[in-house]
Amino acid sequence: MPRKSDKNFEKAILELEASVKRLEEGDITLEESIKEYKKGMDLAAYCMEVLKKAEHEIYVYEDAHYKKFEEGES
Amino acid sequence: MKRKIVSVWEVNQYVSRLIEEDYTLSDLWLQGEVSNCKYHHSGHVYFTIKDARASLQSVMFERDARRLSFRLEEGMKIYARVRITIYEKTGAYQAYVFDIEKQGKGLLYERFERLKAQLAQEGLFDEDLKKPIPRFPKNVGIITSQTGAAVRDIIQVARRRNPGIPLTIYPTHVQGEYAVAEIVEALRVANEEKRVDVIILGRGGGSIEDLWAFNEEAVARAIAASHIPVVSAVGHEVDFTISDFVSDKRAATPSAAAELVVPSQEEWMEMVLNYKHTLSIRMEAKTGAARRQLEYLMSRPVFAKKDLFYKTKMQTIDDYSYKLSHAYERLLGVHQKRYEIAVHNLERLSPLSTLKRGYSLVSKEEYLVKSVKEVTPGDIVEITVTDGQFKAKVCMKE
Repeated sequence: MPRKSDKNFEKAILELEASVKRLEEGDITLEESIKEYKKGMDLAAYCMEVLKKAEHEIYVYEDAHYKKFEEGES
Repeated sequence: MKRKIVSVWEVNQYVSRLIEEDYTLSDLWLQGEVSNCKYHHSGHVYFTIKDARASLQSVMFERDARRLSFRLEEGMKIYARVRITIYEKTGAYQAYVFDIEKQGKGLLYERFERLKAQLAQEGLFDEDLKKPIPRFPKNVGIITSQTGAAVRDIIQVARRRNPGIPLTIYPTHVQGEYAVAEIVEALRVANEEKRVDVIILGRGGGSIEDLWAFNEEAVARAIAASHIPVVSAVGHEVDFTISDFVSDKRAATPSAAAELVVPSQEEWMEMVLNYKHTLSIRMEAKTGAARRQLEYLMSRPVFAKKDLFYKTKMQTIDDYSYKLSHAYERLLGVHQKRYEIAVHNLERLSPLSTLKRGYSLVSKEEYLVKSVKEVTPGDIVEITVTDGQFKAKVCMKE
């Protein structure tokens, strides 16, 4: 089953990109910069964690059910 | 034997009805060559379909003829979809043609071109209908044969690029009589289930007949109706199908589709690390200016050498207070001297010292007498001399 965290990955990436952009634009105060920096670093850590997920889940839809796909099956 | 006499008309009508009732003759594909072709000004086309051994009078009415994407020519090899009818006036039977495909370029090619033109005209291939492929899909749907090369290729590529992204296979036949219905159904189910957010639809290479399901109108319309973006991946690089045109993205092969849809774990990690790096760089730049300003201020003597600064100031204060006390003393001396001189002068000017020299003071009723006008004869005045006072009476004025 897809993990709950997967749902937010794309959102997290978008927010991370927004943080980078805001810092790059540079017209924010030092305090806001620090806040943005911390937020960005947290998001990056979260994204890395999601990306490191390694087990490959493959399912096949059969008779209205999802079952694990066994490779070499025919 | 009794004669049965009927009119020619009746015979022709009778035969006409017999033929009309015949199921086989009502819809069949004739293979032949166009001959003696005449386009009537009404738009109807009269011609003969013939092969090496026989010929058949044919007519195509304007309503059907105008749908043809080409013009009939002498000697053209065709497949004609016809119904056999009797022309009751002459009793001749003829082929009533309602569709024609050219043999030369191939039957399938003709159908392909026609469907493509039709769907294009309907706007099914319009760029602004194309849905974007998610950058990081949460689950990739695969509609293909469970046992084909395509599914193996896709799994292999997906695993190499990013084992973190789950795959869901909706198995179908990809050729043969069930293929179209199953593909249409799989697209419908995937949309209903909403488990996947992108679909790879395809199969491995094969002949044009093998790939034909992906040129069928029903499949094209099912792709167009999908709310989930569809990536079409049919056959090899050179194979183009209707599915390719109507889908949101065409991939040359199933492997290429997996490359396109499954984001590379490595690239994404690199990207996230890049973002982290950029954040640090920007933060550094942002704090740098403030820090430099702070460092500059901290390096000023008041902070950096505060003991020395303090001592210098103390020294200045000592200096001033020394000068102040000196000035005070000197000033005091000057004033002392001036006081003594003043006292001396005062003593020298005192009337008492004048009296000592023999002068006297005359006063009347406590006022000093400075003029003869101030006295009248008979007044009593007081006279002060250096060692006392006495009273005298004014005798006369001069």
